[in-house]
Amino acid sequence: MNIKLTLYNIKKKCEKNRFYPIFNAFHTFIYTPNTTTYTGSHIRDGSDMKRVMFIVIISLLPCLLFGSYNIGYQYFIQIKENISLIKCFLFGIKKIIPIILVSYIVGLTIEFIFAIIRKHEVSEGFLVTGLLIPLILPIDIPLWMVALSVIFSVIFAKEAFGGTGMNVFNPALVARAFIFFSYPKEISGDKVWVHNGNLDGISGESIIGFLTNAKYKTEFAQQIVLHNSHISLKDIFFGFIPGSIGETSILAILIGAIILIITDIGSWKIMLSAIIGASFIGYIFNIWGINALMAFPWWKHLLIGGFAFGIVFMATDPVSAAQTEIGKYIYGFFIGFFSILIRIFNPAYSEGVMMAILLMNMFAPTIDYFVIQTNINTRIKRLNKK
Amino acid sequence: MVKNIYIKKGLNIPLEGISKKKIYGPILSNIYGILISDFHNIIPKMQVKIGDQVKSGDVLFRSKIDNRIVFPSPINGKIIDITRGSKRKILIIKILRINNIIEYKKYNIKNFKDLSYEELKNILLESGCWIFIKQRPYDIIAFPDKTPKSIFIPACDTNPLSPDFNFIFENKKKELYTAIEILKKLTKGKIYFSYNDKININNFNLNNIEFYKIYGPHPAGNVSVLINHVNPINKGDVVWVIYPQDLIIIGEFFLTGKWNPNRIISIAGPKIKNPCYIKTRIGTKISDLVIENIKNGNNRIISGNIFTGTKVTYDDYLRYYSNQIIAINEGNTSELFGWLIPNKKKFSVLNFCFNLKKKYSFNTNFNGDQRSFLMTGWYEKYFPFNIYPIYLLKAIINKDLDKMEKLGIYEISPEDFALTEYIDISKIEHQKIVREGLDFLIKEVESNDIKK
Repeated sequence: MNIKLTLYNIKKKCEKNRFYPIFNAFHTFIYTPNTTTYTGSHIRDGSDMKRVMFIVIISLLPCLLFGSYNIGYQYFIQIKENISLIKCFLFGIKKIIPIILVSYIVGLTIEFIFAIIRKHEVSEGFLVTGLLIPLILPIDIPLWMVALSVIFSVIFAKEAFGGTGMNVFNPALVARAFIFFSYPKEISGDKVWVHNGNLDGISGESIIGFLTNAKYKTEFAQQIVLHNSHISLKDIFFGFIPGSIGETSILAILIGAIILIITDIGSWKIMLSAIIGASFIGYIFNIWGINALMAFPWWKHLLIGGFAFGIVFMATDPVSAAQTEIGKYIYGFFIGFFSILIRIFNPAYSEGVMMAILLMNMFAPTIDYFVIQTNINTRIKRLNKK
Repeated sequence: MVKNIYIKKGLNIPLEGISKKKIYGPILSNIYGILISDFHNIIPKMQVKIGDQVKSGDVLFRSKIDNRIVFPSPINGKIIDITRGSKRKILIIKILRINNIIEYKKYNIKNFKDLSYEELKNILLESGCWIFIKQRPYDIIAFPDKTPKSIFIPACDTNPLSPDFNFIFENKKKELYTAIEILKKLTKGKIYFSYNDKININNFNLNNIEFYKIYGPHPAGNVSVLINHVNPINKGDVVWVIYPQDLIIIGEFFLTGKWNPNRIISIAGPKIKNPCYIKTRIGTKISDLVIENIKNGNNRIISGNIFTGTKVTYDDYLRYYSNQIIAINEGNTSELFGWLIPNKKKFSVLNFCFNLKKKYSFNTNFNGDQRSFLMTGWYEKYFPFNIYPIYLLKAIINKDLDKMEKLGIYEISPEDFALTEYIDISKIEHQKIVREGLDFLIKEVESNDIKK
């Protein structure tokens, strides 16, 4: 009780202090505020933004936990050592925790600085972005690069637009795009997705990387099918394949998706229409099938290359996605469509999902504009009839 | 002929403490109070001063903008106080009741069936009945010079713990029928009457009225929902809205010539010992109504419903348009990691708290801090209009008049945003924003007309 009262008294004293937003951020992290309603509805829902962000973090935990295990698993398989659950998991955790810490500390510092300069409260948006950024990076990424990308993302993709709730682009994807364009060697190719992946070993390649390396001659098509078969569907579904830290396991992503859909935080409309969009273009490519990439089965596209992670956790970001319900269908469809289109036509951008989502982030306001316009037109028609 | 309206979007708040069907009273206070803030957009021009004796129905003040709109006294007695606030703004008028017998201002009304539209309108204005006629758009007291295209009577209240109108109407049918006959003369359009399961429409003997039965969760009972479904408002239209208990007062006035603003209000909520109905009068002191019926603790008393009502204390008075008084817990306590731990006692639309209990005793805690708009798609689930709520709110915040009109601001009122305000995790004040938007619209669009 004393701690509560002491903290409350300190809060009252430093309300006009410059550093009040930081103190308030930590205070409201520990104790919910005791403000009561003074205008409008006298009661308010039991949830607030912190609880919503917390639920998103819970939905990311299966990917994080499995990803930690997978890092160790891929490494030990590569160097042909014995594998055990705890050994792989601890290895992965040791590698991931520094990246997560850097992401949170750097990001929150920038947020605190902006809160002090702009004299507003620290918003909880970064609680999720801070965990998303590590999950979409390769395991050996240097920590200074993580820090740089977080600084770039928070300042230019979020605070420049006005903070949480005002951003046009998904901040986590902007961080990854920053690394992709500034330090391309660290994030593309086929060796970066396993720890110390410079060792020889076919299993060190990502599936897309393998496909893009293959020459597009028909005599190789047979080989690709044969080679592909060494990566079983079971491995793809459970996630025992190389890739970014959190995006390999379809099972973990599914669990996260179910949590987000039940709590209605992640829009199922975006997820479903993205799957339909991707399947649609993937199927057309299958029919067209002039090279090995196009011949890749349309349903397998949904399972590899970070597509599932992108549509469940990135595309469903409520601020940067389309905000009208009809707009969400269109937005999701084109994310799926462009992801696969970019993958097939421009293999250098092997993770086309990131590009597709950023592109559609840019067009989301346009989609919403046209949806709202139809609503306005109905009203004008009704007025003219009168 | 009865038509049905099925509303799927909305939410019934599981608040405990519904009133039992027992009427106590009548309860009379010694001091009555009229608060000017009950009448939105009205600047009072006092017609009495401290010390004056008034009867029930005597004019206390007029509207400065339109002198014809008068505000009558609810009781006979002596004016003991006219409380002013900053810049001499009038806040409350207090009347001390002198006798036990209620004395009324005398009116001689001919048979209202013989009266013309203009004559009826003048009687309504002079007697003070006009203040019960609200208009849409803007949700204010109706402008006398505009004829409505239709009139709506929402006898269906889906707010939490709302009073049961069937129970209230039982002995007042004659007054209701009289008032509705008068309304028929005031518009060339139709009269729409909405009701729900709580009312048995077969017991009503009304002709030439369009009856609509409303099914669905709150805010299905809001009159805007009915208007939207039946006869949507376009720019330039005016419709009138009159609530049933106000109709009974108007009906009684035309039958007896007496201004008798009685109400049967429900006293309800989790902090009320014995939730019941009380027969009383507008302006009664709150302490006379609830003080013996409230449980101990840090309570908030609300005059009106839990979404749009006003916070009152024991020294305050029953607000002019309130049909109920609710008492809930004040929630001015902090919880350790309250946002992290799922709390069985808290109700949330986010299916995270595992809403297992049937009824909850809510409190007035904000449950969070104010943030910018974040979640999308949530507000539309609780907003049964063909309007995009967040876009409209943003247009109002930006004072974009053109956008506001295009997005449908004429079709809604602040009470329609009460539920979206409740579920908003960003804790933004929707009703306040909408009210400011409507006031801005009145100033920009209507002010020229009024000056004429």
